[in-house]
Amino acid sequence: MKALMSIGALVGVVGLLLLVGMIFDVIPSNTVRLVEGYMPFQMLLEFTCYVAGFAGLSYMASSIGMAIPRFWQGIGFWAFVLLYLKFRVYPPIPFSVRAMYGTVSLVAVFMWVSANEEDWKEFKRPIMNVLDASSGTNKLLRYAYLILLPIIIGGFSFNAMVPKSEEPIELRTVHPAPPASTKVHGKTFVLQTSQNPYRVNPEGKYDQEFTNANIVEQGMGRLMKPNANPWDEKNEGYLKYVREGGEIFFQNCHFCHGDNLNGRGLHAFAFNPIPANFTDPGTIAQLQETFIFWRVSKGGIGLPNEGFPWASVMPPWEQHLTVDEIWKVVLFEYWHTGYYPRTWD
Amino acid sequence: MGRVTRKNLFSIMALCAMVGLLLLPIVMALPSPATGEEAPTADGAKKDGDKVEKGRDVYYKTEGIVVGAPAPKTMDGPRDYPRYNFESRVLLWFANQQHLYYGSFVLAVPIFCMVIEFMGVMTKDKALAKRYDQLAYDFIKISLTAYSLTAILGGILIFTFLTLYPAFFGYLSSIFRPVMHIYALMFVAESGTLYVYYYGWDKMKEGFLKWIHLSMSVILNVIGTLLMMLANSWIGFMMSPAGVDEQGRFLGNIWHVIHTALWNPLNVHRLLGNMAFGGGVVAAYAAYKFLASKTDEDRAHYDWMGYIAMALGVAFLIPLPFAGYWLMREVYAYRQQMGITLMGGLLAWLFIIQATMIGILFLSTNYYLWQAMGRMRGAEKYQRYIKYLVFLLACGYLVFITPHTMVMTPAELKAMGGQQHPVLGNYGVMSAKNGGINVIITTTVLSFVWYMRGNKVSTVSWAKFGNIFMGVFFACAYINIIWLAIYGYYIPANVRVGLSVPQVATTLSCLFFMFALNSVMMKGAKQMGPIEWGKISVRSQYALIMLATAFTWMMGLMGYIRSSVRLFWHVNEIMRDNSPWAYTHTTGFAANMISFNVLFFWLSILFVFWLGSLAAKKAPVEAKAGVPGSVPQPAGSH
Amino acid sequence: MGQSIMYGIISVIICVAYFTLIDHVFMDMQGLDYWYLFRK
Repeated sequence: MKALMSIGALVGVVGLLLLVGMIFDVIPSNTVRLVEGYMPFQMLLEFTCYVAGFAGLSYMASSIGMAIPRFWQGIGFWAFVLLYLKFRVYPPIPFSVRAMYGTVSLVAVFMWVSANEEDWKEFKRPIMNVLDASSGTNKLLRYAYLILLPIIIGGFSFNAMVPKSEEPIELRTVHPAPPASTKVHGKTFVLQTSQNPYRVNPEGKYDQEFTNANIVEQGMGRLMKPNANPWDEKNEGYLKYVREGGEIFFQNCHFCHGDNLNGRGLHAFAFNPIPANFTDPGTIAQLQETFIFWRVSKGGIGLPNEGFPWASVMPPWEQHLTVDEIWKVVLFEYWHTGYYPRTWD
Repeated sequence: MGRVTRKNLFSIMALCAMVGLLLLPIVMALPSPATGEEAPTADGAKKDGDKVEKGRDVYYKTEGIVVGAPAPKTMDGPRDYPRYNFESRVLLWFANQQHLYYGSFVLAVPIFCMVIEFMGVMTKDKALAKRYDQLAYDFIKISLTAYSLTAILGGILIFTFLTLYPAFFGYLSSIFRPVMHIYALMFVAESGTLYVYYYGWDKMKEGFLKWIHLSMSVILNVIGTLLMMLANSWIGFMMSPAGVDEQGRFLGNIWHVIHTALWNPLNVHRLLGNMAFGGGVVAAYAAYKFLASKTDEDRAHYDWMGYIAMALGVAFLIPLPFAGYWLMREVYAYRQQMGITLMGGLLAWLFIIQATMIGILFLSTNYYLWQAMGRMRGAEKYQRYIKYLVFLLACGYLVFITPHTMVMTPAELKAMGGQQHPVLGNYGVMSAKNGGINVIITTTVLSFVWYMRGNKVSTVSWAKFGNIFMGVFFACAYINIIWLAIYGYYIPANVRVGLSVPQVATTLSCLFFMFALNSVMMKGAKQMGPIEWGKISVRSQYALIMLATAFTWMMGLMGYIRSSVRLFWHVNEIMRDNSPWAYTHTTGFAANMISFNVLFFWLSILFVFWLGSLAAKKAPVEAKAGVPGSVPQPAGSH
Repeated sequence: MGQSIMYGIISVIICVAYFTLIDHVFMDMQGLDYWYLFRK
């Protein structure tokens, strides 16, 4: 038990040192890399390690007779969460999300320190001491709070009221609900039932299973099947269309959407927001193929009312590409990112 | 002897009368669809045989003979949308929401009464049985005043509809004509049953009569549930119309109109929701009384009442997310557009708020249970580990509330380099969120198990194995849930959506197997000490109030979401809303409106509680003084 | 101590088997393949 706790304490110390380094910008926060494809679990795992480390630290401290008071444990842990989110995770998390996380962890800390009566009493004691002015220092502190608290609150109000010249926050609906059907080059496509005519097996039949097996491995960039190479001249069917789609993509789309399809093309940063990142699991990975077809055909100008503030400059590609070409590009995008289009059965 | 038999006879007759009342609307209804279907046909056939117009059902795709008028094409103006100098939609919203709150409450409380009364009858311990019976009686007493308020609010709602939305209401009532009458008759049946049930409580206290009384509560609840289902058929029709053709003309089959695509998911979801809500309100009532009580005896009673109400409410809260998931699936199946508007589009922000509220519900439940361990000796052994449960809950909660699209300033957007955050963006998808909520629910189950074994030590011979097995089972359940959540990222979306089912099955396995195993292990267990009712921290009672408020707020929110998903339609794709208020409110306005509704509800229900306490207090005063109609106690005294 | 480890191992075996079964059966019921990633 003791050995386990010592290891925990060691982890805690190392973790804390790293975090302090990141806070003071001594160590850049990407020293410990967040590995692409595993980032969300890595963050939770890191967090768990920290908690285990803290458990170890607190155990060691109390075993050498220097127990950390409950009050400071609580406050300290909350401060840790805020600092971790602010300085460890990159790219920076927007304030709104950090505020949500901060509130939840504050509630969690409260639940922890007040879970039973003794803990709660212990936690309250420093606060009560100050309120009761039980000693000289506490009396001084109480006066200090009497003066400081109104100033701080006044500062907050002032800050809230003072006019700022920031751009307003936009609640942008990135994927607005599509229409039930869309008309491209005179043909009506029902979005719920239409299929990509090029998602076919060697027999020429629509076959999602077959095409899914021949894509690039997601996040790794390797071919899922080593011999499924779209640049092979002898290809027929699916992989041939992927290559054709790729050609169209690199002639038209990649300037903005990037040669890695991650929305960071040559012109990407001229736009705000930058173009869609197809490698993100929140874009094409969770949409139906027909949704992409509709978006590509109609462009930013064809967004419905719901897509306010229509922050998209994508041209309506139906004016430049044929229906077949659009389907092929969509096919290529899924192939290259390693995602499967969403289906409803 | 003879008196008892006569009493028996009377009570059986009363029961039969109730069953009769229950069947009456059905009997009455039988010819009405028939007339609706055949009478015009017959007439039409006589006059001009070839002029029978046929229409195609928008949902069932069946052919039917047109018998109704098309949905009116409304125009903005005093004819179709008469108004005060105020937004009519907000008035309607308010009337609707208040009626729903009270309606849910009075439908839920009789179900509780039934359960508690049944528990009282089945309990062998005489003293406990009496307490249960008294509790059930207290419950129904609270709901009685609320019942008349529900009816009044229903009346207000109908008048609001008639005066502010005459064209729409006219269309709806032309289609639901027979259903609305059945509804009214059911209401009469419900009232009659309720009053006999309530006033007959003392007379039917023992033996065979008690069983009759219990069966009355069953009938009462059957009527109540049918009432709710009929009311649901209207909102179901508005969201996913069926039984009419594309112009909204009724095709003669009333069952198609009632049984729309979303009717049954709505029924299940609403029934469970009502129960959880009712439990929350009663728990808040008990918490309020606990905080206000001056004697240990009162505190003990209200602590116990709060616990029972909370436990019943939570029992229905746990399946609620699954019912919600089913409803969502059906929505997607009905119209993908509607599903995306809800979950990924316009209303997605409201779902983040909803996730936050769900989290609050589970967090307060857990917190209450941990606090409740304070009233039993021997539970200290678990208290050291609570911090780890807090950690699990918080992690699950954080993942669960992470928005898919984040609110940010343009500067932050630039710094992040895209709409999606590469780390947190992954928490915003379904796979992670399902993992989060299942971790939260499993932790709640674990808290319950700890609570139930708090003051007990198992004495069965295999206790050691049992304990280890339970520990391992929970650990494996957590691992399985998290594993499935991670696994979901690496498989295609159509396989991924299926993963939620084994995840749910894991959580439910914990619920059922662990509860069952625990109760087997705790049979004849050694008690470390009695449960000392009333010796619970004040914080726990605030947690109960929090729970109830969160329920109310969430109900308001979900109702708003369900209603606004129709966007600019009165009846989806059939009848367009051409009033000036066909737009969707901003999230801020909606939240304020919901808060106002919640506040109003709580203020008015406090009044109802106060009325209840007035009646309770009057009795002893009368008994002591012997003066009929003595002055009621002042309001501030309770 | 030895007995506890024994019990622990038995429990782990039962639980892992049970949850794997749940995963498989409930995916199978929906006509989906739980082992999708591993079959390839």
